[in-house]
Amino acid sequence: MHIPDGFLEPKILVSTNVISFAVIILSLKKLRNVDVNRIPLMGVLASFVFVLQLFAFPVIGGTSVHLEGVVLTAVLLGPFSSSLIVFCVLLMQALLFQHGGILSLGANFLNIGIVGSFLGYFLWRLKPTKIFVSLATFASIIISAVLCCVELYFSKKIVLSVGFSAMIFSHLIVGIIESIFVYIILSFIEKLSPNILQFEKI
Amino acid sequence: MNEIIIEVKNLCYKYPDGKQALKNISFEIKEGQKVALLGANGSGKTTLLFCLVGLLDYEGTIKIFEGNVKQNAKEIRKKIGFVFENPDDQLFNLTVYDDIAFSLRQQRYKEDEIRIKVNEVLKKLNLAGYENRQPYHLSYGEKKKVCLATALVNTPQILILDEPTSNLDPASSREFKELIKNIKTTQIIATHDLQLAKEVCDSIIILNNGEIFCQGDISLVNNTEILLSARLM
Amino acid sequence: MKHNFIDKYSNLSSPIHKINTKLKLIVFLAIAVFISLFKLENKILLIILMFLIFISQIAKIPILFLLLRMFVILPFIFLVSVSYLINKQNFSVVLNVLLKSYTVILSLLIFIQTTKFNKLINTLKNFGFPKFLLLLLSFIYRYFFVLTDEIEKLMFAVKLKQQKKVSVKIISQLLGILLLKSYNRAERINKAMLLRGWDGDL
Repeated sequence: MHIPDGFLEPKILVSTNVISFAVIILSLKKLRNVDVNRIPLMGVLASFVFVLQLFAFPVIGGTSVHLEGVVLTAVLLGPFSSSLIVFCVLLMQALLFQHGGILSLGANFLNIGIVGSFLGYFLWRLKPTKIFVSLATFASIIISAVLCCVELYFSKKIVLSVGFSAMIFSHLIVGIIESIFVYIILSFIEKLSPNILQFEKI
Repeated sequence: MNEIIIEVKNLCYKYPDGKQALKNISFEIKEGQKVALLGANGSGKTTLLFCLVGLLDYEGTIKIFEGNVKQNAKEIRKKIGFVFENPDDQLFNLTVYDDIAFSLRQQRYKEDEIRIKVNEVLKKLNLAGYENRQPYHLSYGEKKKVCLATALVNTPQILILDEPTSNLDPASSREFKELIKNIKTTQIIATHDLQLAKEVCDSIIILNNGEIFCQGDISLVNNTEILLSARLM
Repeated sequence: MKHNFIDKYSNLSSPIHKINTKLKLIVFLAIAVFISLFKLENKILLIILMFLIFISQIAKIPILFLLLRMFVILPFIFLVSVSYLINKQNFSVVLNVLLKSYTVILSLLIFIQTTKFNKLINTLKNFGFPKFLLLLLSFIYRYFFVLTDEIEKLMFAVKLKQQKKVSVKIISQLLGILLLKSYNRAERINKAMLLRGWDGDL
């Protein structure tokens, strides 16, 4: 979930922003001298992820669930590339839709971008199978929900029991849908255009 | 005046999946010539154009202005203006001004010089006032004109157009044709549009299945037999 | 998918629209930091809110649009309310969180809806924002409309063939097609960039 402005205490804001800032700087450094082909690709994929996150999957009743696409991006392009892309997507969402705050970008990026990119990529390296990536997707979504709760708790805004139950319950559904989505889309890519999985991952 | 500026000898190109896209292509183009590159879909027109500007790893020799394209692609590209078939591939900036200024900024021109050149080319193409428009919000015809503007702003010595009138409505098509007719530069125009070829060009090269089917004067376009064999009719 | 909601009021004309973007950005950031970092009474927040609503009307932004944006924080307000109920805290504390959050959102909204996107990018560049990230942001914006058009066409084609509702599998495959198209598009854009003299330098 994208935490809006006004919900996090200064100490949480500062710590999460510092961590996120460090990761962004590191990612920019890693991508300093990349192959020129990578840059427009990252641009278009960033737009793809942005569109993806607006896509609503209808679930039971009238509700719908939104995808994240972070682990998928990390598996396609690598964790540092994925971090920069997801950061920019989160920034755009905050700017254009106020989905997530500006000062809380650090926290949201940590929960969604850093966890998804690095955990997803690390598990992919461990075992590059679709099932494992789907599991990594599910895990990263649940972890991001937990982190979100922890940050709100330390900002004295919620009681952990309420937070955990609500967040984790809603994220269970998101996690399941997203892992299924990642599995299907990876099968699709494997069948139709497997060479894109060979693209260098930074 | 009429020296040979483009020399292609035994050009061959294979796609990454192994399929032979171009086989033994050889031709010459003189300065000031306007060549229509005709061919059915899949005949290799766009591939040939990409080889000419050194974007693909081809076999054979291509010399433009006496420079070998394989070795001097960057320098040679500065003298060539290329208009893509799909404007959304070519207009990747946020405003019309930024798109046209892009190549000038890469060459480190100063901003005031850039402003003059951009305004000049906008005026020439009846696009005055479009500087701050966003590419997405333009009509297809307007986008195509902006693409042409991005190619012309560098005052190129060769203009390459890939399917310039495809998907254009009759009025925009006519306007575009008039614009390119009035541009004196050497031109290579890949197209299906026989009418365009007849109105603008003085010679043609017909591709069929990656090979040169025939080449010569524009009057060949009236030869129904040839056109049918090359699947252009 | 309607995509004109993205920044539909930024093309209007009003005294607020005409203010220098750098100034607007600084004012917005000042408000966001001030409100996020300091404890403020509800009364003060209400005054700030009234002032911002007044500014928003000069900027010709419809009130309904502004009020609807409050929906982004409702899930969090709900969590906070339940938590505070459990802790038997005053409702005015919840109101404080609501007002804090909404005030920052409103100031951001006014900033974004009175600023053309390309001006925002240029201003960020002048402030030293990393160029790589600005490029990603530009691409996200530029190709958002193109990708949503492509997805609409794909969805339409599916709807014409399907009688039942679209499933997760179908949506995943559609997104797979969009992803592959994006790779191809990126390759063509790369060629376009190279032809215009780009050598990878941002």
